[in-house]
Amino acid sequence: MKRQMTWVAAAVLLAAWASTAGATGWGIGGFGGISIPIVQDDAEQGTIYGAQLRLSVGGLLGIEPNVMYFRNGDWELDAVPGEVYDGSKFYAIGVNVILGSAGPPTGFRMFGLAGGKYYNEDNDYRDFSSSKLGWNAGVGLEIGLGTVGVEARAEGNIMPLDGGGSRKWVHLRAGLNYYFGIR
Amino acid sequence: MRMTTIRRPLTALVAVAALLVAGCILSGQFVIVIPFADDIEATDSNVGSLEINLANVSKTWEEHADDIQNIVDLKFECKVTNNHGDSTAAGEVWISPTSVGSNPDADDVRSHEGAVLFLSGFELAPGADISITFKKSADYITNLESVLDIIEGGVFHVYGIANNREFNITISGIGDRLHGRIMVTFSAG
Repeated sequence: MKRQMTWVAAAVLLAAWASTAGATGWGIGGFGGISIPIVQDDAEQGTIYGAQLRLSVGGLLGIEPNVMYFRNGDWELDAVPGEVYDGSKFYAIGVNVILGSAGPPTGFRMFGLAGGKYYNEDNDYRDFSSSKLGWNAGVGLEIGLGTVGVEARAEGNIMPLDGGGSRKWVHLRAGLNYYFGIR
Repeated sequence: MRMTTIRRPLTALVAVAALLVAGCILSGQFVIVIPFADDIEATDSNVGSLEINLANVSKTWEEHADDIQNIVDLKFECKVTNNHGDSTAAGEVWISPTSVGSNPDADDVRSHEGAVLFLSGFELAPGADISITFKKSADYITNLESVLDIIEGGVFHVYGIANNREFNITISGIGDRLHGRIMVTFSAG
């Protein structure tokens, strides 16, 4: 029974995906959420804001240029009670390839994404600034309400560091997309 | 035939990407705080020092000693006291990858090959002291990149001197800390 339900759920998802695969048009969107650092002693959970274009290029493919600001939360150490240190602030500009169509949705659809970003890090505590090319990948869900789509997604981000190593985050975010040129 | 032609480079690309991503994913950014074993007492004719071996005092450093990728930052926390009754002291903290030798004077420290001036810019009136927190130490740090290269070796020597003909200073802990401390941020994976 459980197996059958899994197959039914998969079929429904596939149908929803396929029904919107041919949609074309373009949209703009804004989003916000939380940024969760992975294996970073000098960072706590922070916030993320940004904007994106969603361009359907036909079939299941879409292109998503995007800009975002996010920051690591201020951090402290048990060994140094009473001192709180600034988390880094980041600006990023990038492009994602969307698999699952980036056109206007009807109903709901899931999509996958992968792309690159140019990250700029600023840290007041360390008096430090650096820019690096990194990459990201994730999955999302968008629910269509006419020309408006409500989306939620989880995205992994990796920014390599000078001299080796990297900063990594999981971004959990929600947003609204408004679509034009629907056909 | 065409699929095979495409698939091979694609497989190689995916394999290379996977290795790169795996290398990055397994790495992390670590922060350790190392307390000094003692205070540093220094006069113009006899400069005291401390040897620090990070592997001996930090389990985190020891665990990652073989895969340290980059020393990202160094901060200092200490109280510097001018014990001299007559003259103002312009305090300095130097870091060297090797020992300057036994009973060095201030000139020996300054001229020692590899020794780097790390903290400077604080003047102390006779009998006065200054407490430098990790946060505040950023105001006095110089030559950070050179010092980070020294720290990467894992073993280094800390010297406290003053830029005066005669001086007598002590580098100790602030508040209820017994001695001075350093904070090292590094990436490893």
